[in-house]
Amino acid sequence: MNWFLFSTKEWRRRPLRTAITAAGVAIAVAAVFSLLMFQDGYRQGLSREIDRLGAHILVVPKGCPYDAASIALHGANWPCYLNSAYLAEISRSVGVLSAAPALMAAFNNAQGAATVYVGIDDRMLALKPGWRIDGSFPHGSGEILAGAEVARRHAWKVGGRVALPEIPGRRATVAGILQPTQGADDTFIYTRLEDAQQWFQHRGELTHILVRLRDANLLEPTVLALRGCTAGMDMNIVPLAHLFHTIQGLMNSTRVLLGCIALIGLLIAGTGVSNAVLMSVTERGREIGILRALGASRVQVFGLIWLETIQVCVAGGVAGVLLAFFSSHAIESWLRTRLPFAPTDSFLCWSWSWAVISVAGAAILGVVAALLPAARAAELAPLEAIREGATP
Amino acid sequence: MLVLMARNLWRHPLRNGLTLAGIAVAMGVMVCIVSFGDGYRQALRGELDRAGVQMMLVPLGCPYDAAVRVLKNQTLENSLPASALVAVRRDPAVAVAAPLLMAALPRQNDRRTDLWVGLDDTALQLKPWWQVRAGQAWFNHAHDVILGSDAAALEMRVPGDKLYSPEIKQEFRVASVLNRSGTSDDSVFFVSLATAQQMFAQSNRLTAIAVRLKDPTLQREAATRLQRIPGAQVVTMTEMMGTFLNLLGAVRTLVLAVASIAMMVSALTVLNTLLAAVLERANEFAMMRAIGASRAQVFGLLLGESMALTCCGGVAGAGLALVAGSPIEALAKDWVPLTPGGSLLSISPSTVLPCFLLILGVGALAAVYPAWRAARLPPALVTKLG
Repeated sequence: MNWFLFSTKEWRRRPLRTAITAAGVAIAVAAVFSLLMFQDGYRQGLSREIDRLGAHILVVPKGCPYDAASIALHGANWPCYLNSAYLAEISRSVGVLSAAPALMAAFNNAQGAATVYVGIDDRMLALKPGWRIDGSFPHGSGEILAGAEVARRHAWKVGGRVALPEIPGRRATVAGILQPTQGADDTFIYTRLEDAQQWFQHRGELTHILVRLRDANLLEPTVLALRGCTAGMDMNIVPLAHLFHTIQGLMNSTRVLLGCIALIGLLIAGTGVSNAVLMSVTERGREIGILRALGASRVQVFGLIWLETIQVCVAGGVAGVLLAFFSSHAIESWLRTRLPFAPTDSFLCWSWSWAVISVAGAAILGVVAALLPAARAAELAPLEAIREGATP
Repeated sequence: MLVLMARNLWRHPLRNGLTLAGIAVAMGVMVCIVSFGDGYRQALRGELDRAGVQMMLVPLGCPYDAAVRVLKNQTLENSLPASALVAVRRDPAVAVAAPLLMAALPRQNDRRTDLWVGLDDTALQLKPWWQVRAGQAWFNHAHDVILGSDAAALEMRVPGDKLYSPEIKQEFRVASVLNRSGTSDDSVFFVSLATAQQMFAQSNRLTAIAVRLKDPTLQREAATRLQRIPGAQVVTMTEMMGTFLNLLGAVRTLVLAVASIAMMVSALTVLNTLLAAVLERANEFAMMRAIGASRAQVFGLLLGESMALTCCGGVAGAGLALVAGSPIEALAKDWVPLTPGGSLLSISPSTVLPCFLLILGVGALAAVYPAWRAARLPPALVTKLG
């Protein structure tokens, strides 16, 4: 029997203790690993979301709450409106490639599910090169373009004549269905801008304007120009890159805090491991004495205990990574209800490198936690230990 | 019984010490987090109330970002026309409207950035903490500067001294130095509004206008009217505070979730320690049963030991939070958006007690299984183990 197999024996002797010790490590590692997954995933999710919006600048009405951008991304009701005459002025500004107007209206039904209508015109297509439409873009009055998710939920077919949800007595023809985009677009119902303005009684008004630039480097001068124009006095020009940085900054500060606390969790798990190994050393005083009497050196005894500890920690680490992976869906949906700016698609993304780093971290934890008990075991004087069954 | 528990715990000082340390750290973290949230809310409300400002006019742009920057004494990239001030003062509901112009002046040689703020005398009504430590009360000349206490200490100037700014190539006279207020004003160089506008070539521009209303209940109507001023938007303090508290609430939930994981891990350690105790002391428990102790008494003994352990851990953790709280607070201040001047941590019985009860509950829960196992040991075991 080699040392490695020998070291596994002790843990099999006390399965409950091993399980509890490893569970402690697993929980702490799962927390750390989830945070690491979140770190990359959130940034990517956010930038994908902003990319998908297809715009560099978002123009919203003045006096809107700060979360106007979040409303534009995820769909909700707007408390304030823009005069649609401003659109012309924005389109004329230097640097603007295209400016797409939108009028958004959201309805929440009793079950909490939202129906979001967005009135657009074909300028929106220039901003959404990723859109694939089955059927056609709505051209005539009373035609709609349904997001993939909405169409699936209501079982709409292209060309079908359907009753519009939440607008009693209004019927429309499904001109096209959007292929899945994996974003909030899937849950919107698009109509012609004129129709939306008429249905929701906001003639001549918009909720927001999406602006795409000729060149992303023109952001600063264009923002200045837009703020300087006459209409600029009544609008909020939000460069999405800035927004991205603001949210990212908020998240960063939170993450540092969370990381520190997760590390403290790991530290506590470390003391738990140390404690468990210490107990097993205490119980095995006699056994260790005999090992030493049979010729095992201090280094070998030290190594034996060390190996045992690392095994448990690595097992805990692997279990923790798996735990985090399998519960990532639950964690994500919980986070979604808590975070003010949660991207629509998955923001906990699996990464092999972080998984390996987490397990390695658990192993290092084992290395450190084993020092004290292993040293105690190595210190045992063989004969006394055998005679007394002594506690070290 | 208590003596017996203490003696049992004392038998393995290292083991129980480690367990205790784990509980103490978890408890300390929990107390810090809970009291941080409370303290933050109080400090924020205190700061906003003290100023008596109900709303703020800021330039267009992200209103949230703008308001944070103004409160933290940072410059904005955008500015308001001076005509907005006239319009605000004309509004019937406005009691005080204080304009300010902020500019950051990078000092290449000293690797720092000085903040210059231009004020007019209406600002005094909104800054009750404004107290002159030495020197004259207000600007007498265009080149007078009033220094915040930290700024004065940094520049090593007292009233009457000259202050030359190589970046602006202008010489100032230190008119006075302010008392320490605990706000971000402490590190500011104040000049009169006109001087600031001329210094930074921003004639007729303002960074923000702080507004106090005659009657705070008229806030909604006043905000709607002021919102119509071109180029400006209104951020009310209630709105802003709501936003911050929402954000803070989200952060706090996340942090508490991670902290409860730490607590769970420490509970597992307690469980392990107790299980080992049951194993080691099997013959002891059997003996107790044999000489007449009931199952409930054995159960109670182990439960009591666990509670005693977590109790000590809880007290140690609360102590840890008290001692380590302020250094942690200093660290946290750099990360939290909009830090109010006062103390953020308010460790009080009302924050410590729930944490303490929680940790006791966790300790009791962890003891159930080992205690049950101990109570189930048959008294006859004593004859086998000897």
